[in-house]
Amino acid sequence: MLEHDTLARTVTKAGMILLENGAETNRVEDTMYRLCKAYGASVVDTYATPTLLIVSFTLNGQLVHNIKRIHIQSTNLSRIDAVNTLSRQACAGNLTCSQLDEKLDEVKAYRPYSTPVCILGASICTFGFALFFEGTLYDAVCAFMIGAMVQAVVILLNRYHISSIFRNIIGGALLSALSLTASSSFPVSSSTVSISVLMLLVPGLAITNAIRDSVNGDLVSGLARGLESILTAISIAVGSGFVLLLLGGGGL
Amino acid sequence: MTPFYAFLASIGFAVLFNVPHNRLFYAGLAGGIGGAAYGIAQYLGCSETIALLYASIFLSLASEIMARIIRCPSTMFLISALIPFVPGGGAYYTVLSIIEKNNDMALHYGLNTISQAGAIVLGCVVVTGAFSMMRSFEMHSHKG
Repeated sequence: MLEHDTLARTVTKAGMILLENGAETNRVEDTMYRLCKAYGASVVDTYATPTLLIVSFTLNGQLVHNIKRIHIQSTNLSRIDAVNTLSRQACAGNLTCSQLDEKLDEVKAYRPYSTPVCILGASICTFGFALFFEGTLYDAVCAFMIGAMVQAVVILLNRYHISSIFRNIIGGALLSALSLTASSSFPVSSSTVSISVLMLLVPGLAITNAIRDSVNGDLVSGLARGLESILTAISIAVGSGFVLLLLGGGGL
Repeated sequence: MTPFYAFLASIGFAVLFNVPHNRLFYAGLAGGIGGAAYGIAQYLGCSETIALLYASIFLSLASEIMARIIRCPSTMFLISALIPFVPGGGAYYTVLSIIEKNNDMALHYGLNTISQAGAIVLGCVVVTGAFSMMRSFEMHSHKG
């Protein structure tokens, strides 16, 4: 017979993987709910915000609660996809609880793309942006190189667990400094290059999730993620504005 | 060529967000569809804000439909595809104008940025809302 604390641990593990890797609140709550139901629990209640996870259910006549504080915030959509697939299998009755637990540990061990691939991805991204913003090929090549440098610095800062606000200030400052330098020696537009590279730091996941959470009625999460994206945008502006002020010759 | 550039940018972001490699193409495709809608709308004489609204509607539709076909979370495509249309340029020019003490232009760019962001949000909300409504209808009909 399924032990109630085994189920509680497995379910919160699934929820934690989802939440830590950038799933929207509704998906986290729904997945945990379905898993509990699939393993025979009754009176299931699940609750998630970007920093907290609560699950409560009754199994074999025993009431169980589990609370998890979430600290890590990263983006790994392949883990979300994997947990989604596992939850489908579990709900179809093809996985026992201990099998699910093992599979979740495997998902946890998924390696993200390696650093060079990430840097290459970032440069392709900024290359595309420069052309998308109607820049010339020179602009695009310049954005390609600056994008790689900024992404490398961001990865380095991530490795030392620098707070995201400080990381974005540094990123913003670096990209404006580099694009101003480039525009002084090559025939490129510093604005186009700056905008293209700036898109790397834009809090896309937070914005999208803020919208989706708010639409689904998860207002606490929606507000938290909205605030996160506003803070990120402000810190990018502070970083790049500071450098523009120093090097651009404007006076505030 | 706008769709192709949006495609490139979306694929780049999909890599940064660790989308599995066999699904990178679809993430790019959603971005490309958004880019095509944006380009066509502008060609037909729509304003930038309305063009972004169309882009957002079509790329959200594409991501939701692909998510249903491939059976995976739509987030995977939506996030990577949506980012190229976020008005980062407008925000940048707003800050630049403030620094240059050009308050009129700062206000102009600032208002534009807000309305563009609003347009993107609106497009995304309409489509996501419609699909989640469909899902809940389905769930209730299964139960009943």
